[in-house]
Amino acid sequence: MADRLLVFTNPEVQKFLRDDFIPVAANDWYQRRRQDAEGVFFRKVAEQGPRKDSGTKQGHYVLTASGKLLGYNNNRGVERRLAMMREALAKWNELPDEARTAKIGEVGKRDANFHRELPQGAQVMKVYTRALEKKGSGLVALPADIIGAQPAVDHLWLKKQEISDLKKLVSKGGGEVPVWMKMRLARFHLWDNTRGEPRPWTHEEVVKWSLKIDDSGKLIGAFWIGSERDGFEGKMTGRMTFMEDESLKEFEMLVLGAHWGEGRYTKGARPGKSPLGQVYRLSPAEEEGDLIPPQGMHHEPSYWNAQH
Amino acid sequence: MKIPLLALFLVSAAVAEEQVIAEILPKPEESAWQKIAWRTDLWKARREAVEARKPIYLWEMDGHPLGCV
Repeated sequence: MADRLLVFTNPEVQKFLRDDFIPVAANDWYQRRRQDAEGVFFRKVAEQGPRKDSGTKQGHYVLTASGKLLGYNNNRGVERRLAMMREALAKWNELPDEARTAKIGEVGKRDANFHRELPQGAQVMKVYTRALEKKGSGLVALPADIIGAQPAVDHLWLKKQEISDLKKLVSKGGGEVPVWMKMRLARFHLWDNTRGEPRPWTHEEVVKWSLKIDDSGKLIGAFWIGSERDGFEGKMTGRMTFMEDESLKEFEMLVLGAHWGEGRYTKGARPGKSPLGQVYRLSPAEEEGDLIPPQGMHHEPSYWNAQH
Repeated sequence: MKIPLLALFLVSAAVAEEQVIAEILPKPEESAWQKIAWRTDLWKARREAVEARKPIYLWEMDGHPLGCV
């Protein structure tokens, strides 16, 4: 995530990517596993570089459309990244014209185990998570130079039928949100992803929970998730309203609480319990980045049926 | 005009809520990386690269670089 701030905000990098490259971002967890044409192509590229024998294939690659690797770097320094881009571009410019093109066939059937698409009629909520600290009587963002100070962004997906069920609940006067929503939020979204990928909570770790929606769509709730080792407790307030066609018109939820502990990929947690905030907000899902699947969807059935 | 105490409390709570939401959401300088027109489909990007006669810059991360963390 540091790349976002350290490298990709640099005007020279931005101009370079706009003018001289086709920039692509991908989740290596899927890419290195997928058994389809895209996965075969990606692994062929990665095997030309230093990630050849590595489990993860993370990093920054420059490649031709035919799959020839021109450059690789996994350093977060902007100067080293720029140097890699310049060197790769120099190699590109030396290529004969036929090496700069390729016949790209159909991608064929995608590997359903490692390919996710937003279901028809489903809607997307952006989920922003930020480590906070107390200042006076309020809560503010951490200073930018602290690890995990930047906000994390994830997505909550709700299916068309699920949204319709929530509208029916509101129409009938409200009540506790359905168990599928409880467990999807609790296990796959109420976490601290500001320093890396957190682990999903187990069913048993959802110790205390209440999220009620009233007849106007107002949301209010509280939770205690985790164990003594790591966890998150807090309160939820928000609102959801609906269109005539039963789609969501508005979904806004604020989560404020205290998080503690760290996981294998989320090292560097502050000691003890620390303030953590989340904002859930309906997205028009018009840009490619809005359609990134939720982090919790590595195992898709568990995400959709989080209660089981 | 006399303003009921409850109304004042609700207004101040709403203001505090808006303030903390603004703290959580990305600030303009934190969103600058999104000025780059990132593609998310490598296969389509290959076609685009052929059309544009440009190399592909691929950012691979465990956890999608544009989301997840």
